[in-house]
Amino acid sequence: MDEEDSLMSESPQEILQDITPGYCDVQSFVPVPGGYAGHCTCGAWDVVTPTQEEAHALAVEHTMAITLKELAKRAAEAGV
Amino acid sequence: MSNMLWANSGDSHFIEPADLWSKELPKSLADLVPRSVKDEDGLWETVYVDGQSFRRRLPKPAQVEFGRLGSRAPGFSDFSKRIPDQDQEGVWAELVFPSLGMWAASFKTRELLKETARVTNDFSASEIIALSPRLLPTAQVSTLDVNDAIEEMQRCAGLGFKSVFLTVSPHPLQQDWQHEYWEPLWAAMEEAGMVIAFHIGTEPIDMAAGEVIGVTYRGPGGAVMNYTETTFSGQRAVMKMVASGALDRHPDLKVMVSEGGATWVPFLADRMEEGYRQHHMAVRPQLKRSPREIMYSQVYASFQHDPTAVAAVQYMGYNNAMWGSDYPHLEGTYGHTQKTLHELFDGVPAAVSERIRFGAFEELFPTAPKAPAEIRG
Repeated sequence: MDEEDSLMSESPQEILQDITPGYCDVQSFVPVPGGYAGHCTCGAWDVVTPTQEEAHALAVEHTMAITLKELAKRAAEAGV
Repeated sequence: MSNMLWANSGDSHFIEPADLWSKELPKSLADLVPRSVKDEDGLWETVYVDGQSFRRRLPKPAQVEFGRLGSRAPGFSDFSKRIPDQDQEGVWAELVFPSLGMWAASFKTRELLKETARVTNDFSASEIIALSPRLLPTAQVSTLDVNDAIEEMQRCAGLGFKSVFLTVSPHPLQQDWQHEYWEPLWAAMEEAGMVIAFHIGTEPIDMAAGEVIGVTYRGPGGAVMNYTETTFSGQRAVMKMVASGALDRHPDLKVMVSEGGATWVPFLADRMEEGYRQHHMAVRPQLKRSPREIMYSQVYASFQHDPTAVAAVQYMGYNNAMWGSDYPHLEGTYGHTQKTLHELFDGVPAAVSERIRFGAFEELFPTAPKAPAEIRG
């Protein structure tokens, strides 16, 4: 993973401005008793896991179809 | 430009160094400030903030370009170029909002809120106030704890700040502005002579719900609707301050609403007058002055392009409209300030033009340096 600090120039609202309930725009991971609660803005995905990393991994899985579709779209645009 | 038109600005911005908080805070708190980690596919990033995190799709190239345009002015982050930028644009004194503070409502740790405000305010004092008396930065305070807010507000008054930036709604874990909880802050601000500076579009994020408080639109018209929606939050903040009696109880407490236009003040005053009069049997608290009287005397509002804002002063009796550049943001006038000012004020009676460009600002911030006679126009 590539870490960077540039998000500080954006406000949280700017970062989250494209969120619309019903779409997989953002997944949040919030500490709860016994672990972390993962929630997706699509409203159809909620998990509780022992660690933040496990919730994150499940989120990657949850959004895999979107990721693959976007990668295919970009590959087509690049003529690959 | 020989016929350069000058103005004060009730709405400008600067950005602090990205690592300000992580460098200045003790490690236990620095570990909690926002940081971003990208997924290996380059399509998503996870933002960690105060023990919570959220994962979002990375902005598309058009969105990245939008952000770049909004920070293109040299003096946005290089403060040595700030005054030259304003001299070029025709802006004299300006109320300046920090940028990192927009994150504060995402923090849940009380000490983190308190200390990030302190660090940002110390930075503003040493880098902005010290740079030029023409720059009036807004102080930041925690909106999670009223005593922390009062303590930092009073410290900042001693450092030379004249206003406090408040988000249009307080921290998600705290009661809203109309509640009694905030009364000690209003009393302390009135006593210290500090102006409340609301900026539109600063609704706190409820990270636990992973969503923005308020309304977001998708589909046809979404971009305009989402921008327009941000305007209403400033109006709601004023509505709460007036209807709850906060401004009535503190007649020397002044409110600035930046970037939200100005013609809404007469409109909202009309609506509140009607509600106060027609629903009088249910109205609590009773006010000593009418909603319109309170709003017209204690609420100031800045606009950048709105032609009807001039009419609010010229024809509607609302004298507290002031111009603002929104420097350097994309919605602002950087690069075309002179064109905007001439379009707004050419042909407008001199007293109205003077009031909107200088008078309202000077009334709200009487210690700010007045523009020299030769540039007032």
